[in-house]
Amino acid sequence: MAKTVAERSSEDDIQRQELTELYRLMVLIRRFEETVYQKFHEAKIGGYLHRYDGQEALVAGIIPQLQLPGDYILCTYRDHAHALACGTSPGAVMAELMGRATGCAGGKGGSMHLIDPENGFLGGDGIVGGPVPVSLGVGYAIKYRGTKNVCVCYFGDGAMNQGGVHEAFNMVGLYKLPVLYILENNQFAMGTSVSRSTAQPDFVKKAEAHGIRGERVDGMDLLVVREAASRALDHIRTTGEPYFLELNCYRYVGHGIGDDNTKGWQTYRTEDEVAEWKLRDPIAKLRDTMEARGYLTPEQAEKIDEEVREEVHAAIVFAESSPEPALDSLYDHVYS
Amino acid sequence: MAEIRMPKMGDGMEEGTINVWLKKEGDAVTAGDPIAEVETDKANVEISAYETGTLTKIVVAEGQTVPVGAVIALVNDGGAPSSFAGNGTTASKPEAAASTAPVLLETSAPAVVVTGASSAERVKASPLARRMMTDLNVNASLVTGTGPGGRIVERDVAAYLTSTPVTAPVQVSVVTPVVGVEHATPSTTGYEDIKPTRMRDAIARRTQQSTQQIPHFYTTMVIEMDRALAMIKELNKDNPEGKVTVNDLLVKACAIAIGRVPEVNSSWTADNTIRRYHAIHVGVAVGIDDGLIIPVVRDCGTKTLRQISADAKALIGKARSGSLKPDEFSGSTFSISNLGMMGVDQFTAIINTPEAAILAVGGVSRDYVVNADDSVRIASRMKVTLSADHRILDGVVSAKFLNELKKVLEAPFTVLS
Amino acid sequence: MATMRYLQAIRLAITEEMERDPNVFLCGEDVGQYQGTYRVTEGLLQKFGAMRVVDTPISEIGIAGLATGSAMAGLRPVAEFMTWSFALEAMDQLVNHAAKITYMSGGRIHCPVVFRGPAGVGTQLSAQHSQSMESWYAHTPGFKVVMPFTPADAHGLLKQAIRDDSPVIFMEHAGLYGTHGEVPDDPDHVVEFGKAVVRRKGKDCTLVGYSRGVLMCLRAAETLAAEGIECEVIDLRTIVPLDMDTVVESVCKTHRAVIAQEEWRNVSVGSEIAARIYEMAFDQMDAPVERVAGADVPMPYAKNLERAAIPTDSDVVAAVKRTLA
Repeated sequence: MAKTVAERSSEDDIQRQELTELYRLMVLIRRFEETVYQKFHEAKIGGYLHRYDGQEALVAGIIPQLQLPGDYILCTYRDHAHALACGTSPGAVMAELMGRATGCAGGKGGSMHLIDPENGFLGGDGIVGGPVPVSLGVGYAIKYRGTKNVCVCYFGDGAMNQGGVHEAFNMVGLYKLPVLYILENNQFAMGTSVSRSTAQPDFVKKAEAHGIRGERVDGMDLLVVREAASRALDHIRTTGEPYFLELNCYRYVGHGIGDDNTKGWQTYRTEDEVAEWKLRDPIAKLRDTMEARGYLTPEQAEKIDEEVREEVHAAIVFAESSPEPALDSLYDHVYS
Repeated sequence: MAEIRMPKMGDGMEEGTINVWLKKEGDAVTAGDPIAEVETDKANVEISAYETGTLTKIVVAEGQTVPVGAVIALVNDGGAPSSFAGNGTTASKPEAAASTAPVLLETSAPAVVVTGASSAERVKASPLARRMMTDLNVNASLVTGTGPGGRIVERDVAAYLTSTPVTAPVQVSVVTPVVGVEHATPSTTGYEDIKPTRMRDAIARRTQQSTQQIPHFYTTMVIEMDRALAMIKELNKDNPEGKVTVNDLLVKACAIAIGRVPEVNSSWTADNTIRRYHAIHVGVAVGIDDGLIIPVVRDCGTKTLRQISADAKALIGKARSGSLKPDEFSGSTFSISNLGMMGVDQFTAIINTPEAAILAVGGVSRDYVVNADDSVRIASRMKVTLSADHRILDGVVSAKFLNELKKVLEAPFTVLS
Repeated sequence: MATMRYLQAIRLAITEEMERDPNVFLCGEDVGQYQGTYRVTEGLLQKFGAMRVVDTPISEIGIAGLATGSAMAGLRPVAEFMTWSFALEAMDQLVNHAAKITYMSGGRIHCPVVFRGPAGVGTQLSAQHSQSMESWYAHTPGFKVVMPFTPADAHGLLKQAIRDDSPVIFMEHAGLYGTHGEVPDDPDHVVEFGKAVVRRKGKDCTLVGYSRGVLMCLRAAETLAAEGIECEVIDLRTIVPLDMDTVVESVCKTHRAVIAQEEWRNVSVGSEIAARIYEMAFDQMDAPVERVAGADVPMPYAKNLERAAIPTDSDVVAAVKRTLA
C-alpha cells in the first residue's frame, strides 16, 4: 500500500535525523584523527598512534545500532573511532592519548587501550588477534546470563592469520555464541598485503569453516555497512548464533605514525592506490547521498564541520588542561 | 736446622708480636703444627712449623715485638746447623724472609693477611657477625673466624665474647703481665703493665665512646620504697621458689614509666635521626669477675613482673656462668645499673650506647623525712639517677620519667595490674 | 573436619563455590564428560550441567580467552589447564590480557578468573610435561600465584582464589593429589593470600618452601633434628603476594635460610626470596642463603638422570649443613 505524504515525511525525518547523526560521527572521527598527529608532533601524545581515516563507516554503520550498555564492543589498537562511537567523550579520549588523569583509562592505557565499560566498550587491544579469544569469553558470558545481547568484536585482516583467532572462532561456532565479528579488511597487515599474507584470501570461507555464517560487504559505504550489520545483529539476537562480516575498506594514512611520518607506506602501496581509494571516501559518499535525498545542504554540512571542529578543539583544551596522573597512583590497579 | 722467622702477613706489616708460644723448647713439632700465635696490627694469626723436628730454641719471648723476617725460633730438622747468631744487625731483610720464611700461615682472616687491607672492612665476616661486632665494639681482627674460608660467623663472635682466659687458647697471651723495665729508673718504685682482658677492652672502648660521643646530663630523685618492699615481701611469701627482687621490680617499673614517657626508649642514629623503639628491652648490668655484662630482659612492656623476674634470674645466672648468647646481651633499649646492694648511696652511670638513658640505682636507707606539716617520720628511701643523652632528652623529659617511676614504685601494686 | 585427599579438597572447593555463587563456572579440556584428567572435576558436570561445566577443545588460547573474556564481562570462571605445561600455548591471553586489563583500564575492568591445574615434576614425563614454572607468572604484575601444599590449604586457597577479584594462577601439584589431610567443614573456609604458615618450629635454620617443596623441607628437618639441628619450616602458600614478614621474622631468629623449590634455579622464586632476605635482613645473615632447586636442564627421561635433576630432601639437608659450616 502506498504511503501517505505525511507518513513518508515522518519516515524521512527519522532517516534524516539518523543519517545526520551518523554523518556527524564520521566527521568527528575524521577531524579527531586529523588532529592527533599534530598533537603527537607537539610531543603531547607519545607511543604508537594508529588512525582510522577512511574506515569510519565500519564504526558509524554498526556501533550506533547497539544497545549500550548491555552489548559489548572489543576492538584493536586502532580504536579512537570505536571509543567515540560508543559515546566516550572526545575529551576523555584525547586526555587518554595525552596521558592525563582524566583520560578514559586514567592515563594508564594510552592510544591503544581506550576503554569505557559503562558504555559497553571493553577496550582496544594491542595484540593482533588478541580480542578474538576474549570475545569468546564475553559471548559466553552473554549466553550464560541468557540475555539477547551481542558482543561485537573488531579485528583486522592480519589477525586472520593468528592461531588464537581460529581457536576462538571454532569455539564460538561450536558453542553458538552471540558474537558479531567485524573483519576490518583495510588490505594491509601493517605493511603486508592480504595477497602476500594468506593462501586463502576468502575470509568468509574461513569463518564458515568454523561454523560461523558470514558475508563480505563494502566497508566504504555507510548505508551498506549499516544494512548488513542490522541483518547480522537481527540474526544473532534471534538465533543466538555468531555472525561474521568482512568489511572491505582502506586506511588513508600509514599503519601508524611511524610509517606515516616517513611515508614508509610507499614501500607497500602507491600514492595512486591511496588516491583511488579516496575517491570512494565514505564521508563524501554519505554527504552526496544525503544531499541527493535532500537530507543535507552544503550549508548544513559546513555547520556540522564547524561544530565538530569546535568539539575536537574543546577536547584538546580539556586534555591539555587536565592534570597528569598522580605519581602515587603508579601501583594502583595492578590488582583489583 | 731450620729458622722460623716472623712472617710478613700483609703489605703493610713491618713487625709482629709473639702473643703466645704454643710449643716450648724441646717439644717435637710436625710440619703444619701451630707453634705460636702472632699479633699484628690487624689480626692474631697462628704460625705453623714448616719442618718436622724439635723446637730447639725460642728466640723471641712472648710479648716481644720484632721486625718481619727476624728469626723467632729454631727447629732441628736434622739439616745443617743454623748460622743464626741473634737478631740484631744481622737480622734478615723482609724481602729475604718472604722467600725463606719456613712457616705456614694459618690465619683466621685470610683476606686481611693476603691483601694487607688497611682496615677491618676487609675482614671476612657474615653480615650478622659484622653487625654484632659493630654493636658490641669488637675489633674484628681479634676474632677467629671458623666459618667457610675463615669467615667470622655468629658463633665466633659469641665465643670471643664469652671466652675466658682458661678455656680459650687465643686468650692466653692477653693476660700475661709484662714487667715494665724499659724506662725503669732508680726513682720509680716499679709497676706492672697489665694487658686488658677482652671484656675489659670492650668496656674500655664502649664507655670511652659513650662519654666522648654522648652529651650526658644527670637528674636524681629520691623514691620512698616502704610500700614496694612490703609488696615484694608479700609476693615472695607466696612463692619462695621464684623470689621477686627489688631489681625485678625496678625493671618492671622502668618499663611502665617508659610506656608513659616513650622518648626515653630511643637512640640517636648515625644519620642524625632519632629512632624511637616500640618494644622495651631493658638491660640489667651484672658485675662479674672480670668486668661487667648487661643481659637484656626483652619486651618488658608486655611482660608481667613474674615473667620479668624469671627472665632476669635466668639471664643473670647465665651472665655469671659466662654462658650468655650474643642476642641475650645485645639489643637493649634502656639499662639499669644497681649498686644498692653494694652499699652505694648514689652514683651516676655511663649510658650504654646506643640507648638514650641509663638508671643508676643506689641503696635503700632509712631516713628521717619531714612531712608537709613539719612533723617527722622515718621512711625507706632510695636515690636513683638518670643519665640521659641530651641530643634526645631534655631535663623536663628526664624529670617526667623519674616522676612516673616514682609514682609506680610508691604505689607499687600498679605493676601487678 | 573431614579427612580427604588433596584433589578431593580441590573438588570440594569448586563445588562449594559453584553452589554459593551462580557466576562461577568451570571450563577446560575433559573436565566434564571425561570427569577430569586427574578426576579433580569428577561428578561436577552431572551436578551443575553443561553450561557451568564446559568441555573445551584442546585449544589453550581459546580456554584462556573464554575465561578472561567472561571474567571481564562479570562471570567468575575457573579454567583448568590439563597441565601447566600446556598453558604456554595461551601465554598471550594470560600475560597480555588477563594480567593487564585491570591496570590498562585504570581499574575500570576487573578480571576475576582462576587458572588452575597440575604443575610439578617427576614420574618420567620428560621435558615437555615435567616442569614447574611459577616464576613466569610471579614475574608478571597482575597475577596472584598460589601453590598449596596441604589439602586444607588447597581447599581454602582455591575458595579464596575464586572469590578474589584479580586473576589467580593456582598451581596444584600432581604429586600431591593423592595426599590426605583434614579439611574444615566450613563452607566459608578460606585461606587468606600472603599469609605464610610455619609448619615446624626451629631455631637453627629457616627452610622456605611451597607446594611439594614443603615436603622436602619437612623431611629434611626431621633428618636434621636427629642430629640436633632444629629447622623452622615455612610454607609460603602464595608466591604472589609473598609473605616476606614471616620469612624475615624467622631468619632473624635462625640467621640462616634455605629455599627449596622444584622449578629451575635460574631467575626463580628462590632467587627472589634470597634477594629479599638480603634486602630486608642483610645483617641478620650468618651464612649465604642456600637454594635447593631443579637442575637447569629440560627434564630428562632416563630415571637416573631425572633423579639427578629433581631436588630432594637430602639436598636440603646438605644445604642446611652448608649454612651451619
